[in-house]
Amino acid sequence: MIIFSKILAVFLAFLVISKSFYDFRKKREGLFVFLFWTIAWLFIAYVAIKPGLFYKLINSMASENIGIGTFIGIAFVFLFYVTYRIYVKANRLEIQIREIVMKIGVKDIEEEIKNRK
Amino acid sequence: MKLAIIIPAYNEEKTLKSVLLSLPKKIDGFSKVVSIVVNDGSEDKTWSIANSYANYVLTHVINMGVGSATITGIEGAKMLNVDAAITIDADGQHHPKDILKLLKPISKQKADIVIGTRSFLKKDMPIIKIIGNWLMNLLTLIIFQKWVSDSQSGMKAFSKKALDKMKLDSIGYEICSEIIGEAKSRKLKVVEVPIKTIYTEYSKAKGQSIVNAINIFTKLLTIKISNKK
Repeated sequence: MIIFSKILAVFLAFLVISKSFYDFRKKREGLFVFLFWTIAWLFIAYVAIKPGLFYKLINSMASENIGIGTFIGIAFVFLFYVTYRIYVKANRLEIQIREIVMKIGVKDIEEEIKNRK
Repeated sequence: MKLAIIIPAYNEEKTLKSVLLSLPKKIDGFSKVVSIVVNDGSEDKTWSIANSYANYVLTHVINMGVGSATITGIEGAKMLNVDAAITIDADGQHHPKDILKLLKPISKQKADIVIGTRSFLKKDMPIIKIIGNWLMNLLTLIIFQKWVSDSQSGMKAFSKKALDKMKLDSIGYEICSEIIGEAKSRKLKVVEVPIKTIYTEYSKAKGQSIVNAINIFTKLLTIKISNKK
């Protein structure tokens, strides 16, 4: 199971970085965004392969008596919040784009009605 | 009485001409019949075909999805002040004679929305589509508490009352279920009428896949939760 999750993390990192690189080459993504995702996913893959880094981080917070469960819990809450915000924003944008596209679409009928008047 | 036949179309150059030519020019009970093609950001010759054979062509500058295209068509029909509207697919799977069948309950004021129900017993109906459709019927029932035997049918007729009352938000294929939800919440009378479907390799390849069910489910839940009506 641990090996599987390591392979999966590396695979996902490869997928995200290659997609980001492709978008960067096609000029659909800026250099900063490409570097951000590359560094972020290289870090994720590294942590997945060598989770020791994770323990060091938790130990450095030992004074606050934080366990691995709490750490993962906080990470989950944060990730779900970010996902929720992105979902809501994407949904809102989709509806706004639809409104604009529709208004342009019905323009012909609008003009015809105006001309008739 | 004025009727609008709404045809959402995305890259339908192969079938659109024959669909438009097969539409009835006169229908009993309606003094005027107009066809509205919503060209949903097509990259092929859909626009020029629609421009030659349809009464109105409404163009989406980008591809949005069948839901958006249907809503644009409905908005256009409302601007033309029609008394009824019917949506049909551009892939040629609907039989033009069924338009009359669907309009009967509307003109007799026995229904506000008429759903053209496809037969799922036919041998040429792909099994994956049967399962997908049944799954979508179930999801529609769970989310909107209304059962219809073909919630995903693209052939639907609407009365003026339904056109004015419905407030649709969908972008993609979830529109079919949203219409059922709207009918329920707006207390619109729904009638189902059996229709014939013409399955060709082309029309089988079109439409939604079963994998899309998860995406539709999420979108329907969002619509239901953010119901601001």
